[in-house]
Amino acid sequence: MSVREKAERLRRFLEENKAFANVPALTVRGRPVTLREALEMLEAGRNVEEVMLGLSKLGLDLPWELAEEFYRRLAAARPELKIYALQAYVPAMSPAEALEHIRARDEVGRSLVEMYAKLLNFIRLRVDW
Amino acid sequence: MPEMNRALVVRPSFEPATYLGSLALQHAVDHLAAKGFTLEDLRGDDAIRDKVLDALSRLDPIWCILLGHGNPSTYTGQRLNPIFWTCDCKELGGRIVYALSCFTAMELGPDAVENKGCRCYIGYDREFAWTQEKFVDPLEDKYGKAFFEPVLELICRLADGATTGEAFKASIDKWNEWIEYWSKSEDPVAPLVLQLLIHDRDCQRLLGDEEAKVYAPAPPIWWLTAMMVGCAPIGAVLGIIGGNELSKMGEGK
Repeated sequence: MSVREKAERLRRFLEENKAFANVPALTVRGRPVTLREALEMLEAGRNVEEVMLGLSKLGLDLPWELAEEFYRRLAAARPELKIYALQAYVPAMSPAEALEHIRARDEVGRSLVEMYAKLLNFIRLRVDW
Repeated sequence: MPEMNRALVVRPSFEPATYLGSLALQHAVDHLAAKGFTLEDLRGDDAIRDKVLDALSRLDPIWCILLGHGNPSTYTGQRLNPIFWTCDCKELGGRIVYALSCFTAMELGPDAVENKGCRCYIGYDREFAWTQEKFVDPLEDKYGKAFFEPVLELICRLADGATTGEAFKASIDKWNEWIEYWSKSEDPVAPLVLQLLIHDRDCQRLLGDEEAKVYAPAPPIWWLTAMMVGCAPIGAVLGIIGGNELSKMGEGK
């Protein structure tokens, strides 16, 4: 698939699925990049190879750094939110606490990162590139 | 043989997650009561093993709806009181179980179905997780309702007479509806809601019989009358005639 075609599919996907535009989805030059930023890079011809590779691998690896960036932003924007689970060891946590678990690379953090990977995988399958 | 149209609901409530889950399941309890189920609702401090076993032995319900914390091998009630665990869940034999609990579809569910004769076990083989912005009934929360509507869809469909397979599919359809809804949203929390929705949908499992039912409609009055006077075959004929007459009356409206 050409760069132009890939960019076009991503643009259409983000127009129809606005929720995903600001999701940190890949790493470019060592920095977490959202899908909107990735699209801008493709359209401007910047970091094209790295973006193309990152997009093709969405959700295939455990995205520790991307999940960390996601929860860092969420903790700043909506600190009052709670994430609940019917498991005894962490029945409720704030985005800031989720971030702590991810940074600690513990069992709860790993579960959160695996959920994040599922989201990225869902995007990859939806865009169908 | 467990009795149709009977259900045991277990609803611990001792910290935020079980408290909110219990509020959400009140809608299920109300639906079952309206549907005429004979119901035992063990809430809060009553959601413990001794009372669960006692209720199962007295009521012998076809259906168990279990809320609570779980791990792969164990389902727990109030203050983490262990209620069922692998190798000790024979009381689930012959019944249909819906466990709104983390992880129990990994080991407890398979053990109940494969070794203890449980007809069908629907549960989750990872965490059941959700998010809310307010500490209220999840069905009244902007984000929370997306997680509990699929749960209630499953329970209400079963209560209305669907098979376990049909109710399971209806629940998955409801998860997908909410995933579509939140995919189109510009709400900054939407990506969190979506990752939890996708996760919960994908870890919902049905083990065992997909054709099992918990609800059987009551037989018509004419049939009961005929059975009481001991002439069922004649009663059946009369009932068919009577039914036809009633149908004609209906058409005449």
